[in-house]
Amino acid sequence: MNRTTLKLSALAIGLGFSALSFSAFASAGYYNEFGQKAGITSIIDDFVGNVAADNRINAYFAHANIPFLKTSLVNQVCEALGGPCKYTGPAMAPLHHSMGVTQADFNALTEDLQLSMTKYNVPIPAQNHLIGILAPMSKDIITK
Amino acid sequence: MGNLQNFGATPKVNRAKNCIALAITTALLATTGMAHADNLLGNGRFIATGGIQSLDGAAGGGINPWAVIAGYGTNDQIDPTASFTNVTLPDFSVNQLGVSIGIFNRVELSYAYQTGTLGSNVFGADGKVTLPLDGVKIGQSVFGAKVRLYGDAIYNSDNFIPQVSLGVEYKKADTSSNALVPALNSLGAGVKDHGTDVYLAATKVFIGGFFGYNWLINGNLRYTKANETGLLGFGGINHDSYHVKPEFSTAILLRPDVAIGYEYKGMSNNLSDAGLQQSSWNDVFVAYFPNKNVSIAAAFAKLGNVGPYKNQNGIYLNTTVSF
Repeated sequence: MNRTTLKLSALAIGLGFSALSFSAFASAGYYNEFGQKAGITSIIDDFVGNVAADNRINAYFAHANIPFLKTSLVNQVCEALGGPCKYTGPAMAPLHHSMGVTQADFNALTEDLQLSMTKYNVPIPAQNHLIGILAPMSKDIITK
Repeated sequence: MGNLQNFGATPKVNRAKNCIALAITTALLATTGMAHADNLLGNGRFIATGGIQSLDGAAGGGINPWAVIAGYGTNDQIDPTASFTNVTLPDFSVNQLGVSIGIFNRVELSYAYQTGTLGSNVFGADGKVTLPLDGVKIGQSVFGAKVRLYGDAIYNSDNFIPQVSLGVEYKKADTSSNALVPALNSLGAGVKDHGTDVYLAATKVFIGGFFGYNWLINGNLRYTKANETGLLGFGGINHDSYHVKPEFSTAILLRPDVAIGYEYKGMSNNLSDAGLQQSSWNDVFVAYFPNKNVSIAAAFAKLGNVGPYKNQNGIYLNTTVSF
């Protein structure tokens, strides 16, 4: 590696570590960027509509209690973003245990959520913050 | 996969094309027995996570492979891709046609055919032509395979474990069209017309890691004898041994479908005793993924000294399609 490259790499890595701490610092603002609980409720309404129309995954929700699902999701997202809510629904692993959710299913659901967040003008860093919290849940949800 | 002709492939590609078509058909047949054919083809991974088909045929950035598997197939899907690449530099240009297939987000098979024409003679200090390279053709086939060893670049956003893959590339000059390797050897360069590279790649995506934007870091170690990725042959007089060369890529996703980044590719200097210099490659790129079926990427590439030619800095363009 030549010297310029080393400098560039060091700069990139340095900036990156500042960025990691910056994102933790900024997370309190993400709840507001989602429009607080009212904004999250609108996004989840839209998201559940997307899922219902998504032939890749809507079969999983054919017999779901939609109002309960929406309330649970709003509380889950609100709590994850640091809002004054408490998710009281079932734990992820037992809930999805026998559903046979594939990676493609999980990703399709995430894509539907991204569509709704973009529609409601949630900034990209705030979207990424939520996805970063949801992504590790894939271990409890994807069973195939 | 029959779309190669649409990219303007010449008849010279046909033999190699048949080879890769056979390989892919075999792979398809082998995998069909393991999953239902009706949902075997799929693109369930997130957009942009297959990278683009790089210069060598492996999925990654513009000039470096990454640990990602080509296309958008998940652990129970396969996804074929094809690409066209053009690199235009002051004294020569390279076009590449590539095909690849990602199998179960585990294995990637790729083939790339590179062709180009040198545009300038090389002059000595006395102003006389020392290497009559103007109009000389170059051509090279690259057969690639990559296997993901462990990790997932995306899902493991709660830890620092990267996705790690091991890749191999067999490169062979197309002797029917490549006049550069004989021209170099007429100078006493002592290069071979084929070689095998092995590389270890690690990729990590930090979700929201760069001021809230998703941030990809990739590092490779490549065990190689290639000169300028093989375009100038392999090895050289007094320098016919393998070297480990580092490769580094980083990208920031401004949106899920737009990436900007920087790449570095270390180069061997096997031709020094033949009086030819090589320098590392660098590029800055932007890539746009309008949907999972197509991406376009453009880069400013700084290749520096490419054997007989100095200051080869120019434009890199790529489009990768996924089915």
